[in-house]
Amino acid sequence: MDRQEYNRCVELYSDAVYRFILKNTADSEDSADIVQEAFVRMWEKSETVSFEKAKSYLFTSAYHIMIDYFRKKKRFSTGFDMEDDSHCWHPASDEKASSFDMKAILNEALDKLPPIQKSVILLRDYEGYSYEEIGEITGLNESQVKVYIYRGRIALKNFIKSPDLIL
Amino acid sequence: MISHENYMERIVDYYDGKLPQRESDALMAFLEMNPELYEEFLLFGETLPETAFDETLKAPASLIEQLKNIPDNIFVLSDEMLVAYAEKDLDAYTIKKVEEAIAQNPQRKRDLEIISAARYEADEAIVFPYKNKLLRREPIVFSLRRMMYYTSAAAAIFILAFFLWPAVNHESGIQSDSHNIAEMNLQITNSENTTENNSGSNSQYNYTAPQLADNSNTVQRNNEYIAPLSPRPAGQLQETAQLTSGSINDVRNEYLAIYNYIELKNADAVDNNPKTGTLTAWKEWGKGFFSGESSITDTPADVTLRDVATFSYNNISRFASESLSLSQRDR
Repeated sequence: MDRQEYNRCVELYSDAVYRFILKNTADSEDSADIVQEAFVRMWEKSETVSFEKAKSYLFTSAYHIMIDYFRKKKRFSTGFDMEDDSHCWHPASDEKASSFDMKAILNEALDKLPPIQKSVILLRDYEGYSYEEIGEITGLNESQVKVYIYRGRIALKNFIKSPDLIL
Repeated sequence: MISHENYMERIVDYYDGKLPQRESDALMAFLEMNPELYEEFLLFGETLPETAFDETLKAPASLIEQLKNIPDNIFVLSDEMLVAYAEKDLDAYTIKKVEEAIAQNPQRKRDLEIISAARYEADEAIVFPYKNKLLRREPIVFSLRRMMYYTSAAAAIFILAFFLWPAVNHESGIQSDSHNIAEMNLQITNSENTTENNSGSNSQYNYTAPQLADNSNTVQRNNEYIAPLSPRPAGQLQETAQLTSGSINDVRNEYLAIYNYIELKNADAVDNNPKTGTLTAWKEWGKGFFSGESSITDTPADVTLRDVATFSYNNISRFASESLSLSQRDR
């Protein structure tokens, strides 16, 4: 990858990587640092990373940097038990209409997921990655990715339990 | 290693004939040390021939009939199946089954709608704020070769300038001894102090001896004192040169010095009627010269181009640096 291709990657992928990391960390400054670190790593490996593989490389690097970031911050545990129904949001009937905001509910539900499920679902929804590509990024095999996505979707469904919220 | 936890598996394998000889021996040794287990071993063996080898046993007819008539519509629509449907991970046959099951079950249909709606879209408004910092720009490379190139070019220009630029002694106003240069010490004195010397003239200037050098003079010769001209009225001058503080740094006033120089030069001339020019004419020439309307060749006096150029240079330097006249005059 030469300088022009690298700069092209900055234009094409920096926003997407930043959104993905920001959604996971919920900290803009830390997210910016992670994205910068990912691009620095890619530039250092520019002789071996092709332009075609750059996006995957960036997401992979950013993901692993983010994992290290979580470990340092000791924020890996979420405290959300998918089997525990008490975590589900049950709006009172009189506030259903006023508090109806699908996007906010989804974001709240997403924050309740374990980080790994959150990451694979975002990679799936944001970037449309296949199970295989998500596996390459997260270091999981295809079956594990599939299981995490399924569990995540079911957890989201259970969280958004009240049908009135979306119907 | 046979233990109380796994001995039963070995016994089963033993009676099935799947236990290797070595492990069979180990099993027997273990049972000898545990008589109660040995009895169990014997009991298990006694039951085997009746169950394992009774090939006459057959499934009841009702069971067989039941198995033959398993309905096709038994399809468990689990959450995983719904997710797989939403993720488009199912084959055509299963998709059809799921859709049939959903059609018959409104609750599962609602679940599917929830799962399908719980998708995340990237917020395009969120952009990376430090994109410019990530961009890599072409570095400015100062290679040794390039620096040597520029250094060589600069040195060449300097050497050329050194040889081609006329050597000027700014302090004395004299150029090298190979040039015919004049030095004029122009002293401007108070008009009251010069009244006696000027014998009633209206000139404010008292000229000391100009040192005119010819081409054969040496440096020592240039510095020799030439007897001053006797003070004489500025009869040939139509006007008096007026220098003011504001005009010192104005290079256009150099024509005044040229004018004075011409007068002094003509004083030594053999021809008593040289073309000197009036001060007004010199002023006009000076203005025209610096405005580009007149050239250095059409001066109002009989002087060579070299005289004008040389004298101009000396006087520009002198006027700009020494301010000799006004400091004395103002005093």
